[in-house]
Amino acid sequence: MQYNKMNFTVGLFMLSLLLLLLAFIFFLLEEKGTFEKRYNYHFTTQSAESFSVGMPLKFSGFKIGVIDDISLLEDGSVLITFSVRKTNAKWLSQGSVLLLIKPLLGAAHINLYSALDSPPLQDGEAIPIHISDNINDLIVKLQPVVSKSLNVLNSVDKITTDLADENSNLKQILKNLNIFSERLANDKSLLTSVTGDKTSTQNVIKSLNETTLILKDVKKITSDISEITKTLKQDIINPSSSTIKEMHIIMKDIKNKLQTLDATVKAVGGYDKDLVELKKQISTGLQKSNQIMDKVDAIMQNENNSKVELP
Amino acid sequence: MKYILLLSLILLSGCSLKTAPNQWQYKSANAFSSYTKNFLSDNQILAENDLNRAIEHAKKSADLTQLATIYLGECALNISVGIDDTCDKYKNIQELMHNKELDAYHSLLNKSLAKSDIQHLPQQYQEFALALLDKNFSKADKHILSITKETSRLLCASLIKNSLEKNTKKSIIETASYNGYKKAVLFWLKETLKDASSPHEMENIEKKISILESEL
Repeated sequence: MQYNKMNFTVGLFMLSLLLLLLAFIFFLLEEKGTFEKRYNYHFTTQSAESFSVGMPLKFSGFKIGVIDDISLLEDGSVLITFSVRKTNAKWLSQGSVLLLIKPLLGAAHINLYSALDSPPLQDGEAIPIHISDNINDLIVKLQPVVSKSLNVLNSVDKITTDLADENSNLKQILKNLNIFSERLANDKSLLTSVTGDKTSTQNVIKSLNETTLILKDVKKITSDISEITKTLKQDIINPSSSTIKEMHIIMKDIKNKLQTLDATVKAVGGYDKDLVELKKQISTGLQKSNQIMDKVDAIMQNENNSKVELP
Repeated sequence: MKYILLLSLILLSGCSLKTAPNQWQYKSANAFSSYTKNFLSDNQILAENDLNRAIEHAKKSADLTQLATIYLGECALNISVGIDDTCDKYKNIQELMHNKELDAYHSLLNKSLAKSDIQHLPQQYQEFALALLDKNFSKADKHILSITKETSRLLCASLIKNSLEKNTKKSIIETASYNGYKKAVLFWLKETLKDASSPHEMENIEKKISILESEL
């Protein structure tokens, strides 16, 4: 009797589970719009290029429909049929326009532009389409820019050719400047013409002579200093330099050793962390295996005793 | 509606998975039962793990009776295979509870039993304890053979091991051998070695011990 009751309960449970599962699947499909009525519309175009079955139809960035069928008509044009769900049919109205977008990057899609105040479009009606080819538009826009750039480059080329010519005005000016500077350097009367006074010219020449003498003295002093520094180099700088070089080698060696030590210390630190992590993982593994063993004990021993049995 | 359906689905699926809230007690008892078998069978590592699990589960409750029973059980098993144990773990927590049954059992283990304790002992020990109290070892010896629980028989035998008759020892070895209780077998083989009447018998027993103790 009790066995029958248990059978009935299990059966009831399974039946409820099945019903719930079916209801769940039904709601899921309903939410996806499987049972909802679809509205069909069409448009004609000269070429089926860029169109494909399953291509999305977007409104304000949202996908509201897809192309269902593409067929070739007797006059050579292409008839394209698309459908939208009942809830999205409201977006298609009299005066709505489709625009095929072919972006530089990404897949082509159709955009819907609608005047929402207009009466809604009936099921099966036609709708006009325009094609926006982003790549060709870009090329058309770039053409005037390219031709202007070519003009500019031609002008630059002409200017540089003129400047390179031996008889060009710029070359003549540079030659004249050269002749003038030579005369200024050699001819006293030219200097007078710059200063405007002969006495001043004499003074300038005298100053220049004195400067020459001073420079000679400076040269002698510097040669003396050079001698002194040579002695310094031999007696002090060279030995010090070699000591510093040795010190540098030693320091370099110490630095290398410290770097190696640092790496070792870091590695040891890393192992330490690894070990802690490993220990944690082993502990977790043990805990898990203990839990399994508890369950195995419960099954194997087939006991329902909660009290420890003493020997 | 769909949320109610989902919730019902989860509830219906989960309703058959209910477990008792005192799972720790069941797990602890099961682990100790496994410990008893593994300990006597000389599966040292498994036994250690079982005991640790039993203690770990028992320590999940403030009621220390389960833990005290485990400590006492561990002590009893040690004594039953000839290991000296003064039940220190039990003594440490004994004062935190006043359990007459456990105290009586502890008295039996350290042979300090009083007449008033006997009624609190498990049924299978009561007559043996009476004989022990009267120092009637022959009666106690006979009574050991009538104990049906193997572990209890091993414990009683070890408590009077020096006064045990040769046949009783033989019977104990047979019981332990039949159950695969290697630890008890080795202990009692070593005990029978003391009673060996001839060098040949002694040699045989030693050979058995050596075989059992050798690896593979």
